[in-house]
Amino acid sequence: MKEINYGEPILEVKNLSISFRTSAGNLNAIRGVSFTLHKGETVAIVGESGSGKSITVKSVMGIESSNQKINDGEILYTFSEKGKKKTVDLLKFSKRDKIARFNGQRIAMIFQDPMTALNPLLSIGDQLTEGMIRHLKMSKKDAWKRGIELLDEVGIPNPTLCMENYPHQLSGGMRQRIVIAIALSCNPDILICDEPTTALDVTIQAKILDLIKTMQEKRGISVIFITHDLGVVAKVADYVCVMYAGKIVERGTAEEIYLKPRHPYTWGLLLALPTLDTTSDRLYAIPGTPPNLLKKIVGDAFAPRNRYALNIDYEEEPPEYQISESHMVRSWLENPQAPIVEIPEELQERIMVMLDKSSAEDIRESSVAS
Amino acid sequence: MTKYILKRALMAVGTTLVIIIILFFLLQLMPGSPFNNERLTETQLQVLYEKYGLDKPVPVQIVIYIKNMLTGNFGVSYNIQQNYPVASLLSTRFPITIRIGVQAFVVGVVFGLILGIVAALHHNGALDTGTTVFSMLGSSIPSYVVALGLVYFLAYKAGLFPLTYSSEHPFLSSILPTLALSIAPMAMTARFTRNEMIEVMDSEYIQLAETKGMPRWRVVGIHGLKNAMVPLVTVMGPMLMGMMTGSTVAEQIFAIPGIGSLFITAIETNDYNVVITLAFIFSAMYIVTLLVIDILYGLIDPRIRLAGGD
Amino acid sequence: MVAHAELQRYAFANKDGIYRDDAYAVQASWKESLHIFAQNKGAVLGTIFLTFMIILAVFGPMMTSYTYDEVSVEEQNLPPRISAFERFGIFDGTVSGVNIYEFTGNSKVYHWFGTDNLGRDLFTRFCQGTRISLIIAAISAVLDILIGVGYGLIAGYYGGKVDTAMMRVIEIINGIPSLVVVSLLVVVLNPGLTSIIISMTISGWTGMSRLVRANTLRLKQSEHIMASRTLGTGTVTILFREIFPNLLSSVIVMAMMSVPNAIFMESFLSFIGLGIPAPQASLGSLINDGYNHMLSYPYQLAIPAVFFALLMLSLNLIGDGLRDALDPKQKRV
Repeated sequence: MKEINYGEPILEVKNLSISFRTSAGNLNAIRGVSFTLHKGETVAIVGESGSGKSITVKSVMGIESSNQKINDGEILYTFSEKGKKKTVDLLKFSKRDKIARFNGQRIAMIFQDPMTALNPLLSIGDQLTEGMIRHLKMSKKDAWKRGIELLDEVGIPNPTLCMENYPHQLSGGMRQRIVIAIALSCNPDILICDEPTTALDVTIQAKILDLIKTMQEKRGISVIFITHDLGVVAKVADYVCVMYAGKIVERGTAEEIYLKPRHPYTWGLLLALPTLDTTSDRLYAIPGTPPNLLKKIVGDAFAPRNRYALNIDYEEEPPEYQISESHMVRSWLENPQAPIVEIPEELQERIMVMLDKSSAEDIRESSVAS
Repeated sequence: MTKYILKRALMAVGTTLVIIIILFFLLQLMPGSPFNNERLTETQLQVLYEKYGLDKPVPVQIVIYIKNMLTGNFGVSYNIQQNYPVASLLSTRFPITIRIGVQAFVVGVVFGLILGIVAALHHNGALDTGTTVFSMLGSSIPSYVVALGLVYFLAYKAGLFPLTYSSEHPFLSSILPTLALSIAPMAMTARFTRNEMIEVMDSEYIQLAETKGMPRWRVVGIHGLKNAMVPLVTVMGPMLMGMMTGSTVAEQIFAIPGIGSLFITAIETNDYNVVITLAFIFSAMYIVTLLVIDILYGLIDPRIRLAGGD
Repeated sequence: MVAHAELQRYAFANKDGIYRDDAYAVQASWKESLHIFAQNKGAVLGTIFLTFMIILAVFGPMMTSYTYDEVSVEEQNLPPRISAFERFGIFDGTVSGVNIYEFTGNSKVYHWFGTDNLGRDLFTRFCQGTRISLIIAAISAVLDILIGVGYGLIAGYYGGKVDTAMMRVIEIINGIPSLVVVSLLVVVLNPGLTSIIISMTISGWTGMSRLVRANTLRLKQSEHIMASRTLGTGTVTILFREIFPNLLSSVIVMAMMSVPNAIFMESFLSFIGLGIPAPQASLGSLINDGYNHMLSYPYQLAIPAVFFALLMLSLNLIGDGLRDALDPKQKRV
């Protein structure tokens, strides 16, 4: 087995559980989520809409809605302050404290829809510089200058002019670049990207992904990347967490998730990716819809949609099965008593194609080795 | 911005002209106007004919009429004060109406804004419920019912305030009318601010401001309130229209010698010149406010300002 | 046996292609709307009160032996007296300890809301006044819908120059305060039911037509309308079969919201002496009559004013409830 080189952990989410009070009752949106983000690396959280991806990261930033309640868990953040290393539980801070101490300066976020993420009444310059003026104690003039540099860095043509512009004068792709510039303006350690490419045109998507990746490498930032698209994940992630109905059902390195997926839900997500390489002429879709989280879920939440569901899936929740040091699956299929289920043939085929095409020798090695 | 203001101003002028033309024709239909009033003497009619050039063709008459209205030459009163120029009749009354109107508007909008913001920030709390109930009551119960209640309980029963307006105590005696008139704009502002603020505070750009680590006052005051103000500005027109109507009745109830009570007297006495003049004054005031609101709107919202109109 | 049961637990549960899909129950949209409306306490209370007022308006005058215009010199300015409440010491016809009814030699007479200075029974007048006010509001609302929807549909559907011209007209009408339009028109047309309704419609329809126009502009671009047009459906059919049903809920909400405005405007006209001419009554004219004797006979003002305020409140609550249930995006002005 290949040695996995973890960086230092910078953010550890442990057993996070969140519910919402709604008029229809308590909605258990997050039901015990754990993952670790290492320095300089990217963790992707993947799942259908409503699986709780955004809620998880919004609680890191303290921008949850008012009817939200954190029931359990901790979010440990490690950072250095005045040369000393410190670890704090972000959930222990009040929203106001969290915003004042960490947001912007240490943890920053990029939103899904750049059309709604920028304040329509303030100029780009005002929105870009206000963080620097507040956190980096820069003068308005210096911040403005730095703002122009930042805009240039994220690939805005004519940045001096753009500073004077208002959001409605710019295209979606441009706006997302500006949101990225705003996020990077105070040199954060962690960048949270909440579906940063979903609302953009396909042609722009790749460019924005490249930009995020370049910025990450240049500045050594750690990234949490949220998406529903496993195709996007392949380009950016070191680690992948597959989330379903408020739980992480499979977690592993990108290779493990793509080449040796174990959970039927991950299979479904992979099969649902459109590809030119397979022989199949029909696009797969996972049947049904995610469960209603207002109801108490007995057993495995995915069972009703799972072709391979076992009877026990309707009775008891599957425990975590550790496949390798980094690879975890929550599925009864891993139980020694369960029938042996192979990866669906069609998916197997796709993985073979992927492997053949892959020039990265080490990926093949690692898959052969295990 | 200049282009935008010019366009709006031009439209305001156009509307004013159309209104004057409409008034010109309405004048001929008014009971008590020279065209259908037998009480007027030959000499009076003669003066009128000369003044309005009624022997000339209609378009010329209209031009003369517009010129007269715009230069403040409103003619004379016939029944309220015989042969007294309407302009002079207005000069003492207009400032009183404006003063009380401005007082009520400022009180209403300021307290409405405070109530609305507080309610939105405590969404679903007791303060929010209280504000919602108040704004429902305040925008449902007509200002004159409020005025009557205030007069009966605070002035007549409790004796805290004078029953009617008096020019010797212009402030003390204007408190009740101001209060009565401010309830509706206060309720409307509070309700609108609350609803808008709740929506705005839920938006992604507020979340972005929070992820930037902006302090609460900046998030609420700069990012939140400014956006919530945009739709609020647009309802100020209807709000003012309601106040205008309300003040007419309130002036009657509190015996305020303003243009509203003059309007009612003029209608009751069929003093057509005064009625038409006041109709023109009310419209002109309204058009000017709408213009101011449009300019404010452009100042706040770059999307309007930079689009240059429409 | 135990082993078998244990094995059974690990057997496949979902047979080929059959999944136990837990789909959400979907309600019919009108049922959903009704449910939302019924959940809104204010709206329900408002509906109950409005129903009560409508019943009074329809049957009230039949419940008494008086008519709204019957003058009685012996029974002037009597306070409210209701037999059912008399023994509780309220509504017993006494003012400052003196039973006015016995004092004036009317001991057998009961006027539920008292009488006015002409000795007319105020309850009967109140019911009659409510009837007139509601009729004015209802007819104005219907006329608003007819004119506003027609105008808005045409402006929105044809767009371009037609739209610009039609919107200019609306802008000019909106530039004149309704206070001026309504009072001048009533002066010119002479006060009366018809003239009040006409003048209120002239100043009131613009809001509706703006709403309809905006929605039509939006709907025109939608796919089902496009599809219909490509299939060669006639304009009239598209307007009334395809577009109008989609507008219905916002039109209903808007019309409901205009009802309290109409009632208020009518009362305003009464107050400035342009209301329904006597001996007819409306809620506004009753308040105006009461106002003239406010200090000596406060009940003559208090009763219609309180009911009027409650009616306005109910109508607004219903309007809000309807909006939340039918058209949550619409804003209230």
